[in-house]
Amino acid sequence: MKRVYIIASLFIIIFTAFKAHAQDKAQDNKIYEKSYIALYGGVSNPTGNYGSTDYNNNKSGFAKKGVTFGIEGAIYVYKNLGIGYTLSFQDQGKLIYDDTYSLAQNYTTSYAADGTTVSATGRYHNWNILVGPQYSFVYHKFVLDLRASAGFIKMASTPEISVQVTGVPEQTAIFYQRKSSAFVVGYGGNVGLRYKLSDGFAIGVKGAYISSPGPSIKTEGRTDNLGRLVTKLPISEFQTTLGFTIIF
Amino acid sequence: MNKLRLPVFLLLSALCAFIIQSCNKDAVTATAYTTAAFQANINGATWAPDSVSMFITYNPDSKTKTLSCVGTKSQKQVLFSVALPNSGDTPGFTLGTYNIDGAAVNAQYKTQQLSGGSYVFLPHGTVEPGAGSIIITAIDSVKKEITGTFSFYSRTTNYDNAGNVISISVDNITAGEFTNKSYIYTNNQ
Repeated sequence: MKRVYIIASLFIIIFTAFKAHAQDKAQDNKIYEKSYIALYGGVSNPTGNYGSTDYNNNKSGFAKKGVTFGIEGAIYVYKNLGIGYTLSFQDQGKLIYDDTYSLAQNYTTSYAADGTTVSATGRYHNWNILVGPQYSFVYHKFVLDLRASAGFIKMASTPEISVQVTGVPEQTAIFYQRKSSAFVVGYGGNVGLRYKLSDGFAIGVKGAYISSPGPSIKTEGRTDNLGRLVTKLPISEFQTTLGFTIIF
Repeated sequence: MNKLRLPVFLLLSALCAFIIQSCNKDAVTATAYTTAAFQANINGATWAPDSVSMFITYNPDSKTKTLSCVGTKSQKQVLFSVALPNSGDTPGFTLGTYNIDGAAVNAQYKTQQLSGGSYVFLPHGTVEPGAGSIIITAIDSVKKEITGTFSFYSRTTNYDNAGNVISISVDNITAGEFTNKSYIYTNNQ
C-alpha cells in the first residue's frame, strides 16, 4: 500500500507543478527542458517477496541484488512536462547453495522424507518497458526529474527448480518448478537528478521503484502439494543508477 | 560526431545486454537429509522410520533388563535388542558398546515380502555374531530418553534349485542413530 501512496504522490506532484506553470504562462520567459535520452546502469535490489528466502512464504522469490542497465528519457510536450520512458534490463541473480540447501531441508521436513535434493538452474532476467508522465524542475545546471510510470515487464527467465525427495512412496518422481517467461503489467516511479555538462550532455543519478504482480509459475510432477508450492512470483525492485544523457 | 551519438548509445546497450545474458547459469544443487531422532543408512540411502518403538523391559525372574527397538518405514524394518543380565528394577540402562553376539545382543534387517498371500516382514539375510554393534551413549531415566548409535550388516546367501550357492549379497545398515528417543519402561512381573 505504501508503494501505491508513493507513486500516487508522484503523480500529484507532477500535475501540481504542471498546473502552477500553466498559471505562470503569461509572464513566462524561461527556457524549458529539451527532450533527452540517457544510457544508464547500476544496481537493482529485489525487495519484498521477490528477495525473500522464506521457504514458508510461497511468494518468496530468492532473487538477488544484480545489475540493471538500459535507456531512458523524456519527450517534453509542454514546458517541463513530458512523457518519460524506460527500457531496461535486470539481472537479479540466481539461487545460491544456501537457498537450495534451505529448500532441501524444509522439503525433507514437509514430506517427512529421508532426504531431499534440490537443484536450481537459470537466473532471474527481466526487461522493463515503462512510460509515464514526467515533470522536471530546473535549478541552474541541475534538473530534478519526477516520473510515475506504468507498462510491461517481460520476464525473460526465472530459475527452474527440481526437487527429488527420497523415502516417500507417494512421491518417487522428481518434481519441477518450471521456469517462466511472460509479459506482465508493471508500474513504478522514479526520481532523478541530472547535471548538465553542456547544452548537449548531462550526467545523472536516479532512484527507481518498479513493482508487478509477476508471472504465474507452473509446477509439474507433484503427486501432492505438501510443503512449499509456488504459483505466482511477484516482482519488486529498487534501483540506484548512474546515467549519461544526450540532450536533443 | 553528433550524428553518431545515438547509434553509439544503442550499440553500447546491446553490448551490455549480451554480456549480462551470458552470466553464469550453472545448476546449484544441495541435498539435505532428515534430522529425525531415529535414522540409519541402509545400503547407502538415508532411512528415517516413521514408526519407532523403543522399550526397556525388566524380567524380575531372570533379573534381566532388555532394551528392544523396532523401526519401520517403506517396507523396511530394523530391529535390535540388548539383554543386560544381573540388573535391577530401574528404568535406566548401562551405557556402553554391545557387540552383536547372537545371544544377548541381536539385530535384524527385515523387508516386507509376499508370503502365504499376504505381505509380512521377513528377515532379509542373517545378522551373524560379530556383524555389528549397538552403542548406548546417554540415557535420561527420569525423562525416559535414550541416545546411541548402531550399525551392522545382514548377509544373504542365494542358492540355485540344486542347492548350490550362486551369490552372496550383503545389506549394510550403517550410521544408525537415535537421539533422545523416548522409551517405555515396563516390568514383566
